Amino acid sequence: MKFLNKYSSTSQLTKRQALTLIPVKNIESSEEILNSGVVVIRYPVTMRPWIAKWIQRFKEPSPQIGSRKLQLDSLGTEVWKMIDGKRSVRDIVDTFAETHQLEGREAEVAVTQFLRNLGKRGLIGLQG
Amino acid sequence: MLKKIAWNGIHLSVPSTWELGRIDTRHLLFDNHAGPAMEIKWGPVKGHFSHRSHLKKLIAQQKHHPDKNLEEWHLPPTWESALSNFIAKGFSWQSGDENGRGAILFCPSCKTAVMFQVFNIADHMTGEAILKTLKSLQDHRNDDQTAWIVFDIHALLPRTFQLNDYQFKPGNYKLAFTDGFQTVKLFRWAPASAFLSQTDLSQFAANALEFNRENLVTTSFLEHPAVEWRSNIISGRDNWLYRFKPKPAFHWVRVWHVAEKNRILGIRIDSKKPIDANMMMSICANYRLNPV
Repeated sequence: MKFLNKYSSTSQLTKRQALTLIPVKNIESSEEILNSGVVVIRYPVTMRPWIAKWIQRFKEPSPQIGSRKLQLDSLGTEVWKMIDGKRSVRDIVDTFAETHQLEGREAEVAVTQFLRNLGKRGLIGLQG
Repeated sequence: MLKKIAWNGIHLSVPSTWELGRIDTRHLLFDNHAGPAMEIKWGPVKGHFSHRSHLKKLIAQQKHHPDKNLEEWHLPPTWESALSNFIAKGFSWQSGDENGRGAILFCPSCKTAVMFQVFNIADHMTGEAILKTLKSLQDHRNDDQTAWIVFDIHALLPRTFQLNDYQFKPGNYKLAFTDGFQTVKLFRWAPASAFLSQTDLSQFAANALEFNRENLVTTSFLEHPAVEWRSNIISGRDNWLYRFKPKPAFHWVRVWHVAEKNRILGIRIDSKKPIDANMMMSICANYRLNPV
């Protein structure tokens, strides 16, 4: 039996601190609500320099920015709508858990994973 | 207030504010808001078990962490009394502001060794709460069943079924067990309102469990809307060759919608021999949701 694994923290923030942060939408993103009620987010992306150079060989010089779309599902839409620059991650998790009768932990993992994905795409930032 | 946890033979009650932070086949780590609160590991022992040699191993492992000072710790009488079903030897460690106290336990009746440690005791629980948790610790049941109580799942299976696979993804929990010729899979989906927003229970079950919707029978189970499918193979003398086929020939699926808890539960049994109806009924009857 292996006992006593070492638990090292790689993050500067504790979980409790991270949950108090407030997600804020990227002001350069725009959203569209489809008839089904789900949200499509359009957001700018910066091309890698070598791709931009390669494209310039064939096209007129243009700002090195493109855009992408992200269609959310109904649960993603719900969380996206809760991001208002006032509610903390904890508030969003609690509301989500209550709305769907989920356990706190499950709601926390679901919401934080979703927010992390939005953050990786540059759609949201977190402020203290 | 305590909540029950049962996993792969271990039962214990922990403060309701604790949550499972890590779950492995024979390892549970409980978190509270401040970080890890308690860890427990266990395993079967073949032959003689020596507390002293395990403690020496533990101490030897800490040589890589010079700032961690692990040593033998004499259990207080209250702990000894709470752990009276085991032969126990305590240990403690200190590393900067962090500390831990725990014990290596051995159960002579089921030959299982258990190691638990509580982190930063003063931060996490009062003396009375820790005693309740320790007193609730069991490593075997007296019947031939194994309980599985984690998150919102509560299941009871015959002891012969061994845990084969598990997954706890948000929205989708799955536990798979095997027993020789047959496998049992338990499913739990949440929130049901999201899964059933675009489809009905039959289509959902057929998609999630990958079988033909036309085979499903709509029924009810414990007053919940349900769908069920049994493979239509006549069991008996003519079918003994089925057990030599590479894939199971007998199947039984039941999926039901617990609307008031916004969840869907499912059981799938695949077997190379005819499925025991009583066993299926017993597993279904004992598979339910814990209050959130």
